[in-house]
Amino acid sequence: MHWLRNKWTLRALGIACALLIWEALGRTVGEALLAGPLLVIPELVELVADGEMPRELAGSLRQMLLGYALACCVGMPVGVAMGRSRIFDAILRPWVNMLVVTSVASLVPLLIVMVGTGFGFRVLVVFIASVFYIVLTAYQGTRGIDPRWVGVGRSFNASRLRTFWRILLPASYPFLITGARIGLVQAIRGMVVAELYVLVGIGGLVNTAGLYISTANLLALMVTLMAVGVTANEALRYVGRRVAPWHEERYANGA
Amino acid sequence: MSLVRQDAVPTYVVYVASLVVGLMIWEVAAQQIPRIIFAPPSVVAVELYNGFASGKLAVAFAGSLGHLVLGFVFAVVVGVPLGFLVGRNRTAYYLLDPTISGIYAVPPIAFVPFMIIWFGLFFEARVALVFLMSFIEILVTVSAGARGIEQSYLDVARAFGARGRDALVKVMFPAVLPFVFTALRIGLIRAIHAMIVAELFFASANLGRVMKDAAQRFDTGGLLAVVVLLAVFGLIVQEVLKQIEARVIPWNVRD
Amino acid sequence: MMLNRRKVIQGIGLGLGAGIAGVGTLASQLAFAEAQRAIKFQLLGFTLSIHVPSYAAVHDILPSMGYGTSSVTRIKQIRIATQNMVAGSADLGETDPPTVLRAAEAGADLKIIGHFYNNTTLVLVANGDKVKSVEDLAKPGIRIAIASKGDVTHVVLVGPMQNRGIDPDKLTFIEMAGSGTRMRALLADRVDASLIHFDQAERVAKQGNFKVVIEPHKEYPVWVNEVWVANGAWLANAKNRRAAVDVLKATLIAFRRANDDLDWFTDKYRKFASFKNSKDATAEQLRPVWEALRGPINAWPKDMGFNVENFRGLLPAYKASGAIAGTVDLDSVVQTQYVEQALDELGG
Repeated sequence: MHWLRNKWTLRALGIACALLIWEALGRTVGEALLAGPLLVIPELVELVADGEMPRELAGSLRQMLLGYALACCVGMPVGVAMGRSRIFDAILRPWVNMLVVTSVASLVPLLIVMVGTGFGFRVLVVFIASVFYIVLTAYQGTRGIDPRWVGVGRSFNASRLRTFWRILLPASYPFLITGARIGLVQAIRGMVVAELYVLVGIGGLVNTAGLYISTANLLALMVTLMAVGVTANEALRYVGRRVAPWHEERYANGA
Repeated sequence: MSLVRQDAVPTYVVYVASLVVGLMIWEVAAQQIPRIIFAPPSVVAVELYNGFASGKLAVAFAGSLGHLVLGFVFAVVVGVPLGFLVGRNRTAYYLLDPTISGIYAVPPIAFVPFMIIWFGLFFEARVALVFLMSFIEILVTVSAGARGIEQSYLDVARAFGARGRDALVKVMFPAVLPFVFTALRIGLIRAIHAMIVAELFFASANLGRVMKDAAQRFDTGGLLAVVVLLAVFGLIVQEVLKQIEARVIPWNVRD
Repeated sequence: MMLNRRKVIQGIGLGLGAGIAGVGTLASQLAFAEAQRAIKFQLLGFTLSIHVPSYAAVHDILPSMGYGTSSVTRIKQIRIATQNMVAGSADLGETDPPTVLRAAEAGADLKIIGHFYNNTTLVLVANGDKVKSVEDLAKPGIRIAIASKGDVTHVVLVGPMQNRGIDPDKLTFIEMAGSGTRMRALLADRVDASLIHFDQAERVAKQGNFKVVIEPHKEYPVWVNEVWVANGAWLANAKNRRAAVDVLKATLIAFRRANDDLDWFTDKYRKFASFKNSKDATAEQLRPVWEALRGPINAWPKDMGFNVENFRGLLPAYKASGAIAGTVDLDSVVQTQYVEQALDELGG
């Protein structure tokens, strides 16, 4: 049973199970309610071959990445500042905590008045959708660093820089990466939400998919989004390993 | 441990001052925009008062809390243990991770048409959406915590001489708890989002109906009253969660 | 003297010539500036068969009249589209009359200046096992999916109910955002009736015992589903009024061609319709839909059929459904002079 320990075997097995359950459900309720993978996969191939969907997706991703990058650049330092400074914490915490539960949808009319319905609007919605999660996770992580460790480091005569590199950064690193991942997912979702208002890109295609009796088209677009999400997540994991090699994930080597 | 420290009062003052200044900026900015697009906080405050005085908002809010609480509790009960399992067990991780990452990447609104098939349009559907949205968030965060954090913490602990089981019990368990609290917090935020999304996108009900009616009438004051109510509610539950965190893992909360 | 006079006349002539040339250049520059003007449009989500002529007017006919390529933003929600028109983020927009009138009651300075199309292709499709007649809709436990109370999907059902002496308040409406979600709720037996466009009705009928129980275009003598709207402040500018008349001219040209020419309609349908296989549609496939649209539905009247009385006739239904309070001054919101001017200029 050694082959069962292989991570690729396990992954393939997991995906196969999910597809089987999906296909079974699809056959029970019918194509109009839930098309199974056997109908969705050809639809997906057609969407990619047609060229419109990849083109729209590329446009969507461009504005999503810009909004997400802005959210990381703003969110991580702000979160760390809130975690390490009581004043920053007191000034920003009420707003971050309130805005993170506020749905972007209720702000859309205002955002459109502010920046119109073009590229800026989509970038702004993505930014708002992701930045508060990045702030909160970085905040939680930096606040959670046990001050005793910093003390221990100091008592071993570690320099400030060494303390930062050996203790503060490794300790907050998983939180920053988690924040980046949660933020990325929220950014992808924010991208679709923004596009469902102004009907462009992949969100515009999702909207049009509502017209069709068969759900194959809608599900093919959802699978595309899943693939984008998983790929982006893997890319972040890779970046994480490159940036901070000491943070070797436990099962990363199949150990 | 005393809750009131010497510096607690100034922090509190800064917190309130930040809210007051923010509200003033909102008031001045909103006066420049047509009321049909955005309302100032003074109008929202009147709407909130009227809404609670007439009982309309209170009744709607109470109705909304029903599926929020039920869905969130289910999500915690299932999500936290499953998160640990996926994070700590290699087989479970590789089996489930691709499917979880896939579902995680798609905006929950996209699942609404499919949830109608099994859960209908009313209470069950709303509970199901709250569950799905917060469950996936809790699962992802807890498993990331269980997987990622322990290695770097153990490294630090080993660097200072901790060995074996001692390191696991004294370092790993406390190290994962902050992730559980992050998971609870993000799960709760997503649950509040899901609560209102469910009330808007299935058959409209409770606070979702109040919002929709106000939006239909271009009553931006009434619309923002619900948004502010939810934001303040979100703020309060997050602060409560923080207080609980301070009791459970006091070493993790500096103030 | 003569020489001098001649020189003077010559001089005057030269001066005049230069002046005329100058004015001419200026005029052509102005004309050029006018010709390059691109109008900003804000249109709604789907292009179904009934929308096709107006899309052709915006994208194809207007540029052929000397305007630049139209800039088009599409907005899913009518309410947000209407708010955007108040904020002035587009020159002309497509929205529905109850929403504009409600916004006017809330203080917005919006003007309805023409039909985007006439009448409607919305039909109420019901689960045939539970609903045999329109009267069955009022039975307890029968759930009717609409977008939201007070919008066209709700108001359009009020008249047919009143025509049959049924109190519209007795119906059980389920408010659900998204026409796709409403359709699937019907298919999943979670609601018993749902408003959809007749483009989709035939395909829904194939999924089970679903049938059309109300065709609103047969119930109302006049029904207005979607209109051209502009901001009052925007219309205060003479150049913008000119642009508004030109857009209505383009719309009228499109209406007339769509009525007369199935091949033209087919060509534009292939180009603009939202359905993914619309590119492959043939004239013969579209003929039944086209016949219905230009015939009984009268979607594209040659004179647009735009007048204030159409709207006055609908006010009772708007009020009965709670769409408006009734304080709106219809004569100030509905402005017919632009369509009238467009008709004058087009002739026929």
